[in-house]
Amino acid sequence: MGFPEPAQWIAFAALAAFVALDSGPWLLSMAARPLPAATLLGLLWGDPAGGALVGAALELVYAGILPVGASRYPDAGLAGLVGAGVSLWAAPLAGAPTLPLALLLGLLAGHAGRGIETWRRSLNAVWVAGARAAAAAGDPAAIGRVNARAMAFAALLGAGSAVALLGLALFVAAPLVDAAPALAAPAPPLALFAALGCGAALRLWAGWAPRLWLAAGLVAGLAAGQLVPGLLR
Amino acid sequence: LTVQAVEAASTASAIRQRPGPWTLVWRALPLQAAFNPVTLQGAGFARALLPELVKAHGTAAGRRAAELAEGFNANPYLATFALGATAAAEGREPPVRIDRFLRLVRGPLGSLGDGLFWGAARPALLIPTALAVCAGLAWWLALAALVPWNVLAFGVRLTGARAGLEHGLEVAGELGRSWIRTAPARLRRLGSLGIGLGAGLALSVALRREAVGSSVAAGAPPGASAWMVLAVFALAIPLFALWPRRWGWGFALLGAWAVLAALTA
Repeated sequence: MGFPEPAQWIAFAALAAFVALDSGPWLLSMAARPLPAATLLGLLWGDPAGGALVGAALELVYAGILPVGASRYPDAGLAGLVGAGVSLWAAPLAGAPTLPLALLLGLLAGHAGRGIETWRRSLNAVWVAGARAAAAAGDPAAIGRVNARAMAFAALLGAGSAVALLGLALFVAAPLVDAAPALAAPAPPLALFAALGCGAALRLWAGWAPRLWLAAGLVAGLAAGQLVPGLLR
Repeated sequence: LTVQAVEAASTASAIRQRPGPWTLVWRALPLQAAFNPVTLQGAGFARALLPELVKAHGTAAGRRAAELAEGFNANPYLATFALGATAAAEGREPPVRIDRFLRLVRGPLGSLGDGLFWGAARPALLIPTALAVCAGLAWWLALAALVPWNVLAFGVRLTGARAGLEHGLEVAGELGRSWIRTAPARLRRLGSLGIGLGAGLALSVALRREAVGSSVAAGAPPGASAWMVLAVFALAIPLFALWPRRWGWGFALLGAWAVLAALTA
């Protein structure tokens, strides 16, 4: 079983660099969330719907984590990229999206990303301390330089760590896909996904008003899905 | 008359030296580039104001930049309120007063922005989209969801920069009257409706798949499998709502999936 082509790796690394910047250091356009990030990888690798499915599952998993203050949390964008990479690579080989395997490896990559991000922040602290000393000594441009350096490092680290983690994930996944084609689940457990979304809403938003709206939406969605022909495949 | 003319000319000159609101928004984008556990967003905050510091303090700009870089933290989208206010105040207000303002304003900017963006807008936008994608609606919805988010994000950044530049250190009052205060409650209601709709559509697809026998519960007796879908949904909601660690949801999902597959095998 072969690995992705060099051009695919290059596209993956470029996207990972952008996702790493967007997740905090620059822009914050939300493209670093698992759903858009995995869909973008799917576009680059020729199967946007396959990427979107993995991204949607991971998005639901990470929906309840709030990046408040200086808190540390799993790297959801990295999880989306690695999960989608595994699924997109294995789908033609297994005959169907290997969603459970992609989710598991994506989640593990997200947890690894948490440690990488902690280390990057610690390194930033050392660099900023040096820049503040230089600025206080009469070089205000040092503050600009440290920001530029930190941003470039974040992009390089994001690309490098994503490539390394996807390589490791494919190395782990290859024998599993070969040995256990059952990992290619025939259909995702939509009832569990729906429950995950509702559970996140209940957890995030207390009070009767959001719950009433949730119940109303649920009834309307069920009715639309059953009564409107052709709405869903 | 002469004193008034000099004051007016001085004020006009100070206004001319201020950056435009879009310039501040652009400079605020890498606010968290050098984020770290000691100074948090401090270095990004000082970098965004470097041109104003040089204009206001001349050769002492470096020392002032180092002071501003000592520590700052707010929601990254609402930080433009503080950036605009500081850009307007540097050189016109004593640094001690500006530093006190920044210490006082970071809490409200953090809690208000986190509540709006992370606590309301993001789940309200992304959870329904994720459920719709799972249900088989168009994949491009995943990218289309970025449009309203960025309209909101840049709208708030621009509102903050304008208000800060206009009101200076009195911007907190403006923030209290802003639509940003009331938006989270509306977004929570809208998001709840959207999540319900998405979950309903996903359940519809699950029920349809059961009807044609293509799901993991295909071996169940006729009619029983639809009830099983609804039972799994009803039982899993409290599992996820009460799960002790939110970032453990992924492993809870995989575990529940494995149990479901084993039960229906």
